[in-house]
Amino acid sequence: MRLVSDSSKCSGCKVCQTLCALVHFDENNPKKGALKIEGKFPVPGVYEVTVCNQCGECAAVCPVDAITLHGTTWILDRDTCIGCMACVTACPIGVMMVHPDEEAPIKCDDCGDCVRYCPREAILDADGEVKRMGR
Amino acid sequence: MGVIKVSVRGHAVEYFPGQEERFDFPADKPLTIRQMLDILGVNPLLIMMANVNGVKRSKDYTITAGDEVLLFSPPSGG
Amino acid sequence: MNGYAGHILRVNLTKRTHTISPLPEDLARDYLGGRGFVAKLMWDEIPQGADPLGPDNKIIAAPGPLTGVFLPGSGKLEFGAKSPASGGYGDSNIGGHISPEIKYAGFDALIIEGVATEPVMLVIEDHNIEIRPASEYWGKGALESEAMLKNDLGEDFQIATIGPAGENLVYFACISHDFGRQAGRTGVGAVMGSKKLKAIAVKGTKSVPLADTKATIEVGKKMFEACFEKPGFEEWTPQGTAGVTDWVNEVGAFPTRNFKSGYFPKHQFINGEQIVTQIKVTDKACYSCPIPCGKYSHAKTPKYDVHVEGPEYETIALIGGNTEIDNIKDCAYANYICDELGLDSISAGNVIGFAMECYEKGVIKGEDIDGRTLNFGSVDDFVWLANDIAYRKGVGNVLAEGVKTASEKFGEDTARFAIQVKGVEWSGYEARYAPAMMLSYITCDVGAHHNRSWAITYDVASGRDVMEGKAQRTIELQHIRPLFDMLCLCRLQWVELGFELDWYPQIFKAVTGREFSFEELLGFSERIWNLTRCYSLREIEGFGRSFDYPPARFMEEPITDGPTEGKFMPRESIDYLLDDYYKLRGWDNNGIPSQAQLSKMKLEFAEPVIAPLRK
Repeated sequence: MRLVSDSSKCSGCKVCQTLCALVHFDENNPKKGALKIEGKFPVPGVYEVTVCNQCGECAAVCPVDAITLHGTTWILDRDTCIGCMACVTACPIGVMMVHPDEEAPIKCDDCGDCVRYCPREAILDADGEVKRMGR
Repeated sequence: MGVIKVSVRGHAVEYFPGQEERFDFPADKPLTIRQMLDILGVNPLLIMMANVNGVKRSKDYTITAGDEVLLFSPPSGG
Repeated sequence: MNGYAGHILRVNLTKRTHTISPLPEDLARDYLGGRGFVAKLMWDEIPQGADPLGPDNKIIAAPGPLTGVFLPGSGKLEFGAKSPASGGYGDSNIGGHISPEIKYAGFDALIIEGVATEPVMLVIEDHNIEIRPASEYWGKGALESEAMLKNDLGEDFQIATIGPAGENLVYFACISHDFGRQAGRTGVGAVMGSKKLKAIAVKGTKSVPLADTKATIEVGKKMFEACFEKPGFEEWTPQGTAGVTDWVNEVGAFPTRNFKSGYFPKHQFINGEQIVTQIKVTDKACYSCPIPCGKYSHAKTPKYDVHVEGPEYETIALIGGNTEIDNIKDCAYANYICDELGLDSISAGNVIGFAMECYEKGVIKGEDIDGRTLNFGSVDDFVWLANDIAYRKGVGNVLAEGVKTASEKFGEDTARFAIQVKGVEWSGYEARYAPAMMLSYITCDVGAHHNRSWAITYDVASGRDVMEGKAQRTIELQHIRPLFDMLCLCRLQWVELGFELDWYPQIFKAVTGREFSFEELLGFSERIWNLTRCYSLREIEGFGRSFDYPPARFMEEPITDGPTEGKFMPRESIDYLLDDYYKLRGWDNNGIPSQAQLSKMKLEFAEPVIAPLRK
């Protein structure tokens, strides 16, 4: 599983963010989704969707080793995390997300639900193991 | 005798036999989409356009067994 | 209460105060949300006889219980206010992302009352509420001010603005959001302008409480999967609503040349295919939508270089057909001008088509418009008049109050071709040969708008000369479609993909914990339909049957060409349709709900107001 995005297909609907937060926090709150969508309006009029590429920069700066490698995925242990947010600053693509009600940042764990439910197939698994539902 | 694989997109499905959105239409010879709709008892005006094997076609396009036909209901505006 | 954010925000612009109060349980229980809240709060809160553009009118903005939740199309918001266009009930729906944001900020309704002395904006950041000066944005275009506010407040704010048309109290000014979404109809933008409220900016971080999270995920996922599997899921989106343009011409229902005809010979130059091949940049979705109808476009010629969302079908019909602008780039440009000025592109196209016909007939003379021209087919003429309307200059000042008022001022039988009902301009379907669609328009509670019932395919299927059964079908649709506006969901998944209505009670139960059949949910919708009728009866002197007729053109003048050439709908047919409709609705012959009907609808509180109106 390697998440990649194709921004040219993104329509900005935020299904990915809403579902991400639902399955990880049991909360209907896209602000807790572990990926980023930015609208570039009025000009040029496109969306940019950014997903975690599991580069591990976050883990490299974590002072308490709360982010560890499982297979090809860096997983954040929210109990170990001390909320210093060093990883948020370190993330080169800005997808260590923060939410005012959460002490720990929010990190993608490669669950693949965004791939399964992105209506536009703007988020994909480069390995082709996970596909949009119905594909 | 072969079949034409027909699917209907949108609300016009309610005017099709059995209100089925996917069905096989038996075809022993080529016919136009309009003729098929007549046989099905569906006013051709209820269908906006069609895709045949993924390509947009008019209702006067001739289809034959083995074709996949997607029929579009008219969208209901903004 | 699950599904609800739990609070109502009340803002008083006169006193510059705000209060946050718990959402009343009985309001949620009996009126669900969205349009239901709008109708009930307008009835309860706006004093009888309030001037629509005075301090007593209120703007209600309400999401619904399913808004912002994980299911297809949960991004709609209902705006409501007493309408300056009709003088009666007014509401208008908008997509984009602001409705979920209001929920995430913690609110199920905003009630905005009073008037500010200087331009202001309302900034909502969760429960931190500020009324801030907005003079630097006043006078700016609706799109331009949204861009400025995004820059000043942050990209993560969702922003609704008005343009100069709203500021200048044009009766068909809209509220704009998300660079191309509008609450277009009934003049809600003018009400915002009358309050000197330039913008509403919202950012929220809270969660929507769910009765059963596991079930919501499960049903929500199944709903998306069902959409993905529908025939045509992939094929619908590229053209969006503009895809219907050719078909509406094929059935002779395309507003052309101020509704003289139902067929525009050049329609193929302004259809969905032209959008895809000439101007589209991207498909643009409202929140949680799997089939984005928004076509974000870039139209560039030596004369202009604009980005605009659209044109969608309605704009193509009213700007393209009705003023005969015959190429997609010019339609997109005129669309952009309307969006920036903050004019509803439906009414703008209708009003300008009316003005062009007035010019053609010599009612508006060259000397009235500084020697300029006002010709069908001229985008330049469209643009100058749109500007003069928004800034209320010259003849634009008369037209700024819509075709009904303008025809009263112009006289000379112009009311005959002022294509409106209840003061609200007719939208994109010529209905002289479509009885159910005709009835849908004339009985629509906000005036001549298509969204409460869209019945043209029913007319085609059941016979366009047949009058029987049309009222029944219209009523069914008038309950189904506005139910979406109560839940604040988009209905296009149902209409365009054939998405089954049975899904909605399932997700409603998962989210709110309340169990209803779809039929039972429709009961709520019927209650609101009766309540909005009562509201207009309360507010408009003499309101009733006489307000439910189309203009004389539709009853007396045959369609001039195309597949429906020669057709018109005589008054006797309209009478038949209305008689049938009122009877099925439990309304008397003058269109007034009976006491029994009000009681059945649990609207006994309206009886004292309605009783004296019955004869």
